Amino acid sequence: MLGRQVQQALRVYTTHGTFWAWVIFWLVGHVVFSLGTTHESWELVMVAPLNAVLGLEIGRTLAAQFSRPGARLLPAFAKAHLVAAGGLVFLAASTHALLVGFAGGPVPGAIALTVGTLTMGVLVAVYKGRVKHGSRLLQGLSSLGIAVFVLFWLLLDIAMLERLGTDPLLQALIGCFGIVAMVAIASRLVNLSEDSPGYLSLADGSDWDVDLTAPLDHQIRGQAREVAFASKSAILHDSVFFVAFFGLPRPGRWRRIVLRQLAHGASSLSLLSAQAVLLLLFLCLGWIAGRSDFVIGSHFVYYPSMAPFAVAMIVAWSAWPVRVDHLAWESLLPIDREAFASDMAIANRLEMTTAAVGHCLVILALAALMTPRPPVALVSVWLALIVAQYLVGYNLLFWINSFGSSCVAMLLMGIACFVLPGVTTVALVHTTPATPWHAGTVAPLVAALIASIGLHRLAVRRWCRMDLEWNR
Amino acid sequence: MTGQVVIAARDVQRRFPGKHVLRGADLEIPQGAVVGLLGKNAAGKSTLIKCILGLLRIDGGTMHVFGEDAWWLSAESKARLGYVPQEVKLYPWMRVRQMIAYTAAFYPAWNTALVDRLVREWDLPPHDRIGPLSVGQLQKLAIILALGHEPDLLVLDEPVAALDPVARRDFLRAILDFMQSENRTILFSTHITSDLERVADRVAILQGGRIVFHDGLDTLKESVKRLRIAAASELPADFAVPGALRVEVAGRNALAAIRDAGDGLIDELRARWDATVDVEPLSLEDIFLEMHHAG
Repeated sequence: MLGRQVQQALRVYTTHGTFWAWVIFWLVGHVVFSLGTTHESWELVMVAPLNAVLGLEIGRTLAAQFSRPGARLLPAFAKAHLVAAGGLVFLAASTHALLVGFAGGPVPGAIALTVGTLTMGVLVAVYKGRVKHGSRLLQGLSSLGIAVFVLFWLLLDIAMLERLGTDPLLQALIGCFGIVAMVAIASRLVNLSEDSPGYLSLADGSDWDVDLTAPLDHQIRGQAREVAFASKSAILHDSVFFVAFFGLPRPGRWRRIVLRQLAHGASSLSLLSAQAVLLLLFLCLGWIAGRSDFVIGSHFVYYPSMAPFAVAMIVAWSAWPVRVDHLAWESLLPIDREAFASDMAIANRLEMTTAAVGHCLVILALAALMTPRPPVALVSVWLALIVAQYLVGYNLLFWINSFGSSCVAMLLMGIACFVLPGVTTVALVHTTPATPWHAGTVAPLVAALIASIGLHRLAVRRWCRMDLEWNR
Repeated sequence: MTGQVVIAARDVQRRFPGKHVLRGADLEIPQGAVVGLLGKNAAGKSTLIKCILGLLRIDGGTMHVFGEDAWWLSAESKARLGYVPQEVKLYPWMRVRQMIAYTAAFYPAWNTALVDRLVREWDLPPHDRIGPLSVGQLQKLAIILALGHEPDLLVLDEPVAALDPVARRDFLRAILDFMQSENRTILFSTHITSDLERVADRVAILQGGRIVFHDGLDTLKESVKRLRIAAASELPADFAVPGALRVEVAGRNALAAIRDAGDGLIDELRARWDATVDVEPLSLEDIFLEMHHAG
């Protein structure tokens, strides 16, 4: 009986293409990291974000299942769903262990790490329903937090990490965390009721949810209730509204754009705050490292190039599902279709500028703290590459947004968030004092500008021709 | 009515993956008309409305609003358009008064006095946030926002579904007030036929992806009747009335809903079956039911 129920509970995951997309993503990552590396412990840790992302997806689905009346009314509902989720965690840990074992790596470390990070992801999603709010890559943001934590770990106590593969105590500790987390997850879900904080925003949190009739509306209303009752957010929203209304320019395009940005909760603000956190983080790292060769010219260059960019893109993208629901209504305000698309493009550029400036400040602050100071030419190249990255990334994002939260969008976001910084990093690592200055600055900027114009046109054309009513 | 056409849909086609919703819908709405759009669930009413508004792109045919292509509607035309969707989605973090100020900021003309009056009369809490409002309150707010700029064309997609009887009555009164200006046109879909009978002067019935009827409400009521037939002897099981929408036979009695029943047909039935035939008027709801039983 329970077997049949678990089988049905598993169907919540397996009947959705998205789940399989994540499984493939997770599997490819694990294969690459497990088989294609030198089996050092820190490389083992690199799969942590992948686990966390998968854990978040499982957690979102679990939360969505439990935040409905049926969860308390159907017999054996909780047991079936918890066993199904536990089975998925077990399967993931076994797969990882198998891969690591096949490659001759530390199997217990792999199991402990997979269970630990997967359950951490599930735990976050189950307790913090709003993590699911927005796009799937917002989960990436959450996992980025875990990745940053891992990064800290990696940089600050590499010796501890080395022990991960060999020290049974450490492995047991992580494994225990996983078990405690599982108990906490089960406790939260079984006791979930309409009185529980975040109940409404947990509901319909997963796109895999069987009831897709009005997910976003429910989600937004859930979020709204939280906003309405969270005095801090309320004061912030009211203040922004007040300032914007009194400081608005005269009627016209800018007024429209500012108003619309405002209506969407001024996502630039959260973008700035996210970048400020990263700035502090990298400043700390830069301060601790205190060496330019530590930052530039090593693999570490990837993080300051990628993290603020990925955060900016993810914050901008995660604000999008809230917008989507209002597109139809907004498009009926007195503005023609081309101007509507063009307004969105300008808003996109505004956010891009905010994010790019924030990121450049991160780079400049890092460079200023280093001893010895890196050459100005090298920093210029770094900045030019970062700006180029934003030009391409944000115009790509404007186009990606027109695909909603489809698999195409996910794939393109993956390219935008990882391939672009990857290209930047490769270019930067290969930049030497002998590299002509203009080759490192002018050339990428011109190339990025041309690409961004192309992407912009492509996106505007698509926005002008597509249905704006996405919730039929 | 001035006779100018506000909405002109010709042979409109719209498909969704695996579903052909609109299969050549034709609809012409003159200025000053109040048109009720009727159709079963999933008949395509909302799709047609969204195509009219340019929210959904048509796959075939033409769609014009105020003489312009609905997809490329100009800002000026949009300023003359008001819309209340079936599912109201406003910014939940805004307060009611902020939402009104926000919407007003986009329109060149905004009747603040009218909006304030409606907010007061409809008991909307101006300082409350939108998120926690009830569905009915949200719908009221959406209606107020759609009326604020006094549009020439008001499109409502099941606007009263979530309203209580008092609010529905208030809404209908607001619609009647709105129609005081003769240049205004309303298209609204609803399942509540009694509301439609109260305010609409025309009815469009959408069935099988096509508009199967579009004319005056009185014309429709005049054309569709029920014949109560009582024959002298048992009627056969395959008893049929030419042109009937639906026939129900029980022994010597039969009920037939028929469109455009002429005196000739009734006389023929009387003569052929030695029957008494009573002609009964039908309510709009009955007509709707009969037409869909037939379909």
